[in-house]
Amino acid sequence: MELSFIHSFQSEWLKKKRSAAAWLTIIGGFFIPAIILVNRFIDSSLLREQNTSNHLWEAIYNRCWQFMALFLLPMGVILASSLITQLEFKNNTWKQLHTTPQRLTIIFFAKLTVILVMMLQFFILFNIGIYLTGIIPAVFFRNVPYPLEAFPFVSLLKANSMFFLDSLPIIAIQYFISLQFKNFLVPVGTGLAMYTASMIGLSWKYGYILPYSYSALNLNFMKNKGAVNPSANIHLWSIGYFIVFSMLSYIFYINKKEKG
Amino acid sequence: MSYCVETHGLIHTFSKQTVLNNINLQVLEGSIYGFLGPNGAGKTTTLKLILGLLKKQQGSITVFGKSFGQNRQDILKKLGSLIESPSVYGHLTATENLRVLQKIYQCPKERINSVLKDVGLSDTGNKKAGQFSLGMKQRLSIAVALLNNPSLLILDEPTNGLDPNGIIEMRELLKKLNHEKGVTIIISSHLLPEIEKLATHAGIINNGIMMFQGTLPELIDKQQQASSIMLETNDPPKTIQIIIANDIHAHIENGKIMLPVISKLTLADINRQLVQHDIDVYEINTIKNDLESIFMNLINN
Repeated sequence: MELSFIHSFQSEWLKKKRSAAAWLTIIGGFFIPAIILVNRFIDSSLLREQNTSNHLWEAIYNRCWQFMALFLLPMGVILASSLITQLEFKNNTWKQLHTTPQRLTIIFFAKLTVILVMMLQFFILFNIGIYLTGIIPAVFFRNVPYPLEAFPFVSLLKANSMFFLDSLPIIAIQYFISLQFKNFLVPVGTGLAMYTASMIGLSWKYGYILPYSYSALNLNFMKNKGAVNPSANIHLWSIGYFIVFSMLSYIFYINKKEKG
Repeated sequence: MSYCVETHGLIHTFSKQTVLNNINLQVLEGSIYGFLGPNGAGKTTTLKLILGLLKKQQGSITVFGKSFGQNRQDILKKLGSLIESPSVYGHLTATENLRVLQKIYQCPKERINSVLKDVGLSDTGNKKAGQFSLGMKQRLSIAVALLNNPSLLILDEPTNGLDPNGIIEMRELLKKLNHEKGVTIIISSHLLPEIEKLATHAGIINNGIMMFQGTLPELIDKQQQASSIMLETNDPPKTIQIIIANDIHAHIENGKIMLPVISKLTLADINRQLVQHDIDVYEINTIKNDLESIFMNLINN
């Protein structure tokens, strides 16, 4: 069982090579840090002061995550989750996959794991991007030192883990929808609608029940500013949504009448 | 006789429309079974049911003597398939496409080059499968079906998109697999000539009903029965009288006389009688009926 899962995962991982989902992960990971870096170059007079500050990493981290959590992360997750299943629809390969000697359960979880690992890859690239945003100016400007503050690895890992957790409901819901519909526009359109509704819901007291809002709610300034009840444990809600929709998705997938 | 694939009373409906009605398929081990039928007859639905791609509604399916439902993985390990249009990942090369499947089957990596050579795709290099012609995609799909060294191959219209040379090569490859490795092959097609040159057994399906199942000689015999002789003379009514007088059933169709296939001697005798009665004979021709006519013949019978 475990071995066949690993083989299935390896097979699924190979499939995404050169796919839109793979490029999205790489480009999406570096996109915001690249913009912040360009912005730092434009305001080059501030570079020295920033790199000698004790809050350099926190400042870069907050700026990067502000844009990422509010827009790019949910969008990226919506697209990447939908693109993984779309690989099979687009290439007419579900029938080939479903006639391989592996349990449907393994196929289902191997694909889901690929999406989760891609997310992890995205987070790693994003943090490498944050790190590069801090050090690259020192390479180009003689008067700018390398950051004096050590890279706060542990605290960033913790913070990243929370954002990862908060993205899980989007992954599960998008995976669920994209397994059901051949037309790519259905999961993407639904995802966009859900995201918009969740963003509007940020001004609602019970906005924490909206599954696409958690990465935005995880931003400190949103917690304090918004109307959403700050005592709600959004991480628990995230896990709950992820489990419920993963199970639902699994049941629908296993019981599909036509498998190719 | 042991059957590699056997179905009993297979019934399938799509939104209240019965697409398969009591299908009892029997594919002998080591045979090449030509599954014939016009488009929409139920061939693909039958094959999809055998492969578990469609949820079975009524009836039973056994493959390698085991029930498919309970032994799905064991059966699929020894099976290769190609259903309808090619199934290949367009953004991957031919080798990468096979690597994806090799990871699951855990067969030796050498099999990849071997099957690519078998289907004539060994020199496609870094070209993505999406840039392949339909014929090349079809070849790659066949390579995928052969990757795990299957004991049973299920191919649904595998020659679609292949050029004449490709069709001949494919036929030779399938014959070789059958003769040298004893691979049982189920090959569906709507073209009788294609099956005639390859199959040892045949099944004909029409409107979800099995019209014929047997050996190829039995099918050819049916085709013979469905054939007819056409005569063109200057006096059709008188010609008919002479033919009927010989206890042969004949009728006029578009001014020409149609009669069932008779022996060469009888035909020569009739021709002699016509000439003796001063009838000018312009043409005598045997019309070999095509598959559709055989279907009609089988349905009428």
